[in-house]
Amino acid sequence: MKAARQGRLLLLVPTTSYRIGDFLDAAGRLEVDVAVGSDQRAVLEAFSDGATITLDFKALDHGVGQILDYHAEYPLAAIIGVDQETTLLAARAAEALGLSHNTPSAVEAAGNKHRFRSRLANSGLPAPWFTLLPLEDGDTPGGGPAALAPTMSYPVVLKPLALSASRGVIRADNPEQFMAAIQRIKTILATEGERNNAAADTAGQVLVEDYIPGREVALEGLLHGGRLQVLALFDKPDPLEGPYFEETIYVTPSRLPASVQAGITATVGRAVESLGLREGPIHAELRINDGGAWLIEVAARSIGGLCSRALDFGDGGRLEDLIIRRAMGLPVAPADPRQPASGVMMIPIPGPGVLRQVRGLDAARRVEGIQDAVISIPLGDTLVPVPDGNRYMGFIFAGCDTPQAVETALRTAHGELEFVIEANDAKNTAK
Amino acid sequence: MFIQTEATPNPAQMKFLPGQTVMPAGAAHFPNVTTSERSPLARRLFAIDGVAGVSLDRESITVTKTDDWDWQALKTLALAAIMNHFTAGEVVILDDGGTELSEADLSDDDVDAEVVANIKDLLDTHVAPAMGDSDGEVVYRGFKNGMVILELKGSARNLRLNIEQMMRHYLHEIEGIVDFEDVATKPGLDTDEGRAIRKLLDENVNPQVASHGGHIALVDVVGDTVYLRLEGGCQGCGMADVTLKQGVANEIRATVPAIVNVLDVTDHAGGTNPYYQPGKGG
Repeated sequence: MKAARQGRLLLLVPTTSYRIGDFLDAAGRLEVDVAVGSDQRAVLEAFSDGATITLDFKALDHGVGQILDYHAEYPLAAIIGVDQETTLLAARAAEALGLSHNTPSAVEAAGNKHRFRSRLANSGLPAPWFTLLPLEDGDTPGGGPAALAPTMSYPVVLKPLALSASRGVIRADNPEQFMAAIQRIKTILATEGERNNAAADTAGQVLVEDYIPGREVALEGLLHGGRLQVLALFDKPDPLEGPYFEETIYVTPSRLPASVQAGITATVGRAVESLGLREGPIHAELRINDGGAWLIEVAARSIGGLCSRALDFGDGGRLEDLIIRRAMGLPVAPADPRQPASGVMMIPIPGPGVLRQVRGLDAARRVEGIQDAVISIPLGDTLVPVPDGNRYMGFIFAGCDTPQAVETALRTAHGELEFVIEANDAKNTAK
Repeated sequence: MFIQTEATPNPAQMKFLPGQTVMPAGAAHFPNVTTSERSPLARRLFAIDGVAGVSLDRESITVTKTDDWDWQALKTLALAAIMNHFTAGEVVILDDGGTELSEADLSDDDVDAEVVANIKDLLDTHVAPAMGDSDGEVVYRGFKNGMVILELKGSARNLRLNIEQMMRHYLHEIEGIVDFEDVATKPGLDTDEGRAIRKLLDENVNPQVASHGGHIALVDVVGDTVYLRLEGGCQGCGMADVTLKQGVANEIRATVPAIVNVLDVTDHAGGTNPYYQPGKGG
């Protein structure tokens, strides 16, 4: 197969990504000439003939310059920012090279929790009250957390700008919980490297917004010049009510009424238009209640972790195939799933400690409907649950005739797993 | 050869019992063809339309089918594939260490008993304590041409470089260590292609990979296919695919143009000290 756009595809992938293997496999299937740009030097970069390149992911001007230099030697046809960390660099470099991509301002708005809320505030879409606070009280005009805590209408959710996914996201139902959450977030950010990793304008700031009750869903989509192609709508059957928001089960297709699903699609469509997103993958999360579909986030990237393995579009390929096809100007077929229903469980970390043993993996894989179960944390590693940590114990994948059967299979398989976790010189077994 | 079949609680799965050992130890699970590279038997089964997964254990092969196939048609094809595999005498899994080795493969004729005793003493006093209560184990297998032959189990693979450095430090007779799994005679390694690839790995690739605490072992060369195992810091590393597909595979194909496939037979889930670890999602 020949790509419509001639040149290499550059994948921007941090070394902490779950996803590089799946993207490289897809590029191989599509016979696309691919290079990997990462924030750490690949161990064999010295003789990779440009198949890998080390890039500055933090100083974006420098990173863009490096990509322009690379392009002079190895002409690029497309750049994909695989993870949240690299979407803005991909957009800026693509703009500099005149490649098809979202504008940097749109990607930046989607990737910054506060700018996202601000950009959508006048869109007419349901939106919670929100404000941006410094974590430290200091001489902040209008008052810092301690001054504002007694004045807020609870419950609220605190979201540190410097952290991604569910990390550091905490619900508070009263001023005491609010101040405890502020302290907890400061502790997380104080851990080695976190402040250094955060952009200067986001470190030390927290978005506070009204807690939105309701069921949560996730929409996976692909933008074609501003037109939204819905690839999957996932239900999240486990209630996410806080105080922490650990993702667990995603099941597609959604069991919500068709009218509600149409409302979700319309809301996401209006959101991407308001943000200015026009090209490539999007991952949106929403809450559904009597007030309608409320956006939690719209990211200019695809679903994280290994979750994309829950999506198989048969002859159309996997999610990564569709993303690469769109970026390289290849035709993208309608996203018809291979199976009637599928899903994934991000296996929660049961508690802090050192992972010593995982039992029941084979039994989990034998459960009807289970396609695979993988543990992604090595034995001997320290486990850090949310909101402090940012990893999953692993992933379970299922495919069945109905969404209910998928959910049942995932829960049954999870029930087969036992984790031996050593904490404070004592061994515990967690189910 | 008579192969029994057995239904499982999962209607999409069927168990096949060939009446002989499938895997001498442990079990292996291949959810798709991409992951089946280290098992010629699983790859043979994945060549059948409708096979969605293969699991192996000591005495059985469990096949998972896709929804659009029924067992009436698929069972016959799977039985034939399993029968052909075992009657042809092909290996089930490439790194099972099941090859019989002679004394001559493992030791020099005039091996110095005192050196061997010192090696075993180092293993007892320095290596075993380092394993702690992990699943790692190191078993002495022989000493030949200055190389200590060790069976490295579980997390012990991650300590390969440390063990080698420690042994060379204490015993000047030792030039290095060899993984017991790599000692078995494999005709593919004794070809021009095999020697060229080993030279490439030894002289170019592994000195670089060692900087990440890793090592890449040449398991076998069969026709136009190279089988590699990633060890130490490479095993389970989030960037292992980049190392293999964007580095090693390109270099092997440039060195030996006859090579088409470079396959990774590593059990990445068993890695206990990967250099880069994934850490975000959802």
